[in-house]
Amino acid sequence: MHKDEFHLFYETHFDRVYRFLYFRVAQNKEVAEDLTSEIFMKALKSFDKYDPKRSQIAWIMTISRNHLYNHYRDRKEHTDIEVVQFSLEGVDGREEAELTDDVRVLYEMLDTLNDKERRLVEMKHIQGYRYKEIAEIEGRSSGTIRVEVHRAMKKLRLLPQNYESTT
Amino acid sequence: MNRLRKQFKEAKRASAPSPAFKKALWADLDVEFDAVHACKNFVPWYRMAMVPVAALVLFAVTGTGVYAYTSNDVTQDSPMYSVRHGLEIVEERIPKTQRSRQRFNARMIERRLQESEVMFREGKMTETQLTDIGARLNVSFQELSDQASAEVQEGEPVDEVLFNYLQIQNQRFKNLLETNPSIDEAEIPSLLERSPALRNKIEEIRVHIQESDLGSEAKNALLERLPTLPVDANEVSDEPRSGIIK
Repeated sequence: MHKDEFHLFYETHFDRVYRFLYFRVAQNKEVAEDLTSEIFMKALKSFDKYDPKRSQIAWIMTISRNHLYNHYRDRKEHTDIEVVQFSLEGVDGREEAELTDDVRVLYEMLDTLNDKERRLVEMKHIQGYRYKEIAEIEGRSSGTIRVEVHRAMKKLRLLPQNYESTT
Repeated sequence: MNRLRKQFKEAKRASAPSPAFKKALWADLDVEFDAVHACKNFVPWYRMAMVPVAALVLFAVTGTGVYAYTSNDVTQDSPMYSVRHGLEIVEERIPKTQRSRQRFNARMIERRLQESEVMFREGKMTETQLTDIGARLNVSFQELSDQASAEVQEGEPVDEVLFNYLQIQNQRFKNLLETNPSIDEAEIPSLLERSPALRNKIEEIRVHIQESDLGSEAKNALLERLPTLPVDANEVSDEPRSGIIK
């Protein structure tokens, strides 16, 4: 394996892996950083076994999800990682205060969506995935994903919290 | 910008990882990579060639020059920057082959990116800097594409290492654009779209390879080496977002 290949892989996926974790560890930056480090170390050690026919994004996200499950399992916490993703309360209660009003309102709005809608909207508009990439991760067609994200966004626009766009 | 879009942008900004952490983690991975893969990595020859050249230049100056030349903290707003820039000019004037000049230019792009990343962390990065890096990337890709085109015609292997290297720098450039709050998301496509010549050239090479007399295996090997075109940040596009080597 060439180091440049892994470096490019790192540059391409680092931000998304971090953001994925950040919203699932109650915006605790230290935990998100620890988990990100561990995930990329794992990826490095098994990069030789990576099948190039498989999507890189799907591969690293599978590692990330499994690692996150293990993290909660080791802490003996029975947590649904889809449910905790937009938890407003930080570990020491301070993280929430640092959030801007805009982000806080957004989180409240996202909580009105179901788990799947919330996950897709997060991937598209916060983690910055393309429809095609989300489709690879979710194992569905990009057309279907596009429609579902569009519907979820429509729901968000109709919420009263989104007062500027409804007036 | 409507409120919802603004809220998502703010959430994206709030959840951005620290550049210092990213850099530190890569440093750890770099070391770990060597340990795991027993140093099978390619060390670009131009880097090795640069060692004696740089040593000669740096012996001629003081320890201040060494610091100015090597430190990532010497950025455009630093008093030491003129020393750094001067040494780079000396280095640039050393006679080179076309390939070594391209590699030198690629290395300079990396330097400008490192400086921009430092300035971004300090909140001093300007759009002019980014535009300059974007232009350098475009020129380097174009030169490389021209050479690759000639090499393909002559049946020689293209400089895959330099393609990979430039793609990494291109990815870093995109990351800088995307994480820089001073740049409106709507402006990113225009910043990344200043490379029509590159797009055309890559396509030209692709067609040339496809129409060549090479066998299908050789064609595929060459096609795989071509870089993915710079990202089109259009939110509704289904095109891949990044330059992944497949």
